[in-house]
Amino acid sequence: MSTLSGVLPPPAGGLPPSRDRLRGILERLEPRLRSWVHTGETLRRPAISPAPWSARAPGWRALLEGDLPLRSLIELVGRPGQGRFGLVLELLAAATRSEENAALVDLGDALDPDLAAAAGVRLERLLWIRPQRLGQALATTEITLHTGFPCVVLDLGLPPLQGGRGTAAQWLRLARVAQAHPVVLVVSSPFVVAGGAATCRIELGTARAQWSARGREIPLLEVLSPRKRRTARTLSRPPRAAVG
Amino acid sequence: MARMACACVPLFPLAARLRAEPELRSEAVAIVEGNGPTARLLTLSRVARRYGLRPGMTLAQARSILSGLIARPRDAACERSALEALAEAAERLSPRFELDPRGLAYLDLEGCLERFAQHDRPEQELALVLEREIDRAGLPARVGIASSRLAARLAAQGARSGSPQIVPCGQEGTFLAPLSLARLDPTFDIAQTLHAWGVRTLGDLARLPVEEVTARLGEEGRKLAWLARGRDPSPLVPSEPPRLPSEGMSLEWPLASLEPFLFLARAALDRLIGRLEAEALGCVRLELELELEPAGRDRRTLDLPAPMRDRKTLLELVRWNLEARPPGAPVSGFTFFAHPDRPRAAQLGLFAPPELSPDRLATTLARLFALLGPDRVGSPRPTGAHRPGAFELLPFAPPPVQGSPEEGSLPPRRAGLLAVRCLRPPVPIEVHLDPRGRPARLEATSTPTAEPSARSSSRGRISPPPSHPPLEGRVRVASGPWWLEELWWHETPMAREYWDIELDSGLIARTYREHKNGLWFADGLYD
Repeated sequence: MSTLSGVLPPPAGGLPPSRDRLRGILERLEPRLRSWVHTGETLRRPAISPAPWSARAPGWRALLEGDLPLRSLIELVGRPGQGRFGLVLELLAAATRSEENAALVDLGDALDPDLAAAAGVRLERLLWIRPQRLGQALATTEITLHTGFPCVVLDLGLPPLQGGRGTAAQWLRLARVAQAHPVVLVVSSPFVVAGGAATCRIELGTARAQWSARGREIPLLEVLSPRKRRTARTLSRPPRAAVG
Repeated sequence: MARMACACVPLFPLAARLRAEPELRSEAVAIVEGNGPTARLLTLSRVARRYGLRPGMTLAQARSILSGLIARPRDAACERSALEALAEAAERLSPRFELDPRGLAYLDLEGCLERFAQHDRPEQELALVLEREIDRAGLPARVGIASSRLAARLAAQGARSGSPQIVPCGQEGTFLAPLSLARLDPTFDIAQTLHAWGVRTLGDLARLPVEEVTARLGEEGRKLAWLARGRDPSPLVPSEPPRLPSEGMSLEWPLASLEPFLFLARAALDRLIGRLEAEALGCVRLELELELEPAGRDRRTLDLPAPMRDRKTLLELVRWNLEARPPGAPVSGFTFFAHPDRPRAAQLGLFAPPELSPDRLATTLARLFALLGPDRVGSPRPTGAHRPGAFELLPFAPPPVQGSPEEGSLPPRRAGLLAVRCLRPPVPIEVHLDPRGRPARLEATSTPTAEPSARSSSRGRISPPPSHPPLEGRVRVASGPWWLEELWWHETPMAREYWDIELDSGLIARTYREHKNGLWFADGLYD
């Protein structure tokens, strides 16, 4: 196949600069001017908007080192006792206290409404869905995403997962649905399930339990502090496709 | 003089049938009465009449002329639905209307013409609007307006589509005079007597003195005399609008498989939802009555979480219901009944976050109910019980957005989190105590739980066994005992001794010992 340069004469102003030359030109610009210039590549990559209620979830902001991204699937991975469920409740509290509605797809049937209310969750804004198998959980999560909930959490419970880990195609489908709506979708799992379909994956490490006797013989559990072991972000996002 | 409008649906049994089967509108169709060799044509479509078929012919005769004639019996369900639709259309124009099972609706127009006062001919405009409303309900209509019911009916029967006939006030006698006596539909004896008197038209009857006619023909004669003069002998008897809109039909042959039935059910649901939409109502409960072959009925109810109008979701719910509980016999007819209610309204705010669309939310909840069962979807609430993990599920109905949330409503900030992941049902464990009676070691047990099991779901399936990590190891920290007692007056009181236990694996479990039998369980994990 012949290239254009061999078939047609070059344009009057010369050939366009190569990518390396363009990058060099941008780096020589003042920082303030550089923020105004966008290449076609950055324009093609869709911008990620933060959830407006991110400020109410300090634990999440610390783990993500930034705001919660909308139109994203965030995978939260942690073994039992590493503080995963506490983070789920913090997320639900942040959304519901900001007058947003939230949905919790609770595969393990783990929610205690009393403790959720104590954690700050406004229960009248929370839709609690209690599936019994992974297939049901995925289907109900997708249905909920299409409804317009700004915060949807799929908590897969404790291992072993009922119904297996799901296929890559199922998680990719869920990620695409999340991309099509202004929603923060969090998949909380004891091990990695979504893989490359997730925009971001947070893996928790051993949590630190703080007991306090306060001068009494009986110690009191005061707090369980989750620790981040690793955060992984996908280098390329799944292409935005029309999801019916 | 009170003005009356009459909406007449010509060939009502045929119109009702074609409303349920619109694909037959361009075909040669006949409504048949009777069975076997005595079956006779009652009404015919225009296409059938072009072939020379006439009412009163036997079906065999008609088929010998036109072999492709589509014959349908009279369908009470279709006619009932058509009458309901006619009533709803009439009610939109007048609160007082009377229905006639022959496909007629009489409307009292007192106070109803003010709406059209800005038009040159208000009655004409009202008649056209009435015709359009009935047409939207899937029925052809002819409209007449006069000061008596008979005059209005005859005016309607003489009108054409798009050209209602208005009889000016006080001229009913003139309008009725040239019409044949048969239009009054008198009894045979009275018709014979009047014929013998030389009375042929309504005008002839109107010229006779009422008292003399009454003396010779009785009460029936008196009514006919007043009718011929253009006066109503009895007042309008208002009909009530249907409380439960219904749509259905009798099937040509019994159906035993689901897909053909759903094809017909979809059309009926479309008509039913269309009627609810016209009234800005949604369906909060859908009932389905099936007529079974050879005899019997099957009635089932679908409760919806919120008023909704999504046809696709309703059809899916009907499908799942029939798949889960088949009727057990072929279906020869069906009727849908919709319980109407006002849909939820949403008021958006400029500065507040967007609310969920009520229609979409209702559809979602209905689909979740159908997938999981109503006891597994909702808004959780604590019950106020002392027992940890107790909850009740309420229908999810988020409150309207008040505005920007205040900063003061944020929970107090802490260095970490404290949350418990409930284990439902509680997991039996074996606990070894130290000399002071405090837990020292946990071991896993294979003993079946003594707690009531929640393994069967509302959809009749056995739920999978619960998942939990192995709860065994040396106890690093034990916090307790925390005594909990509940329902002491009950025949099964609850008395437990709670311990928070940290194992050397790092897991922190919430455990308890039952006082009644000394068994240990874990009902939560700090996570």
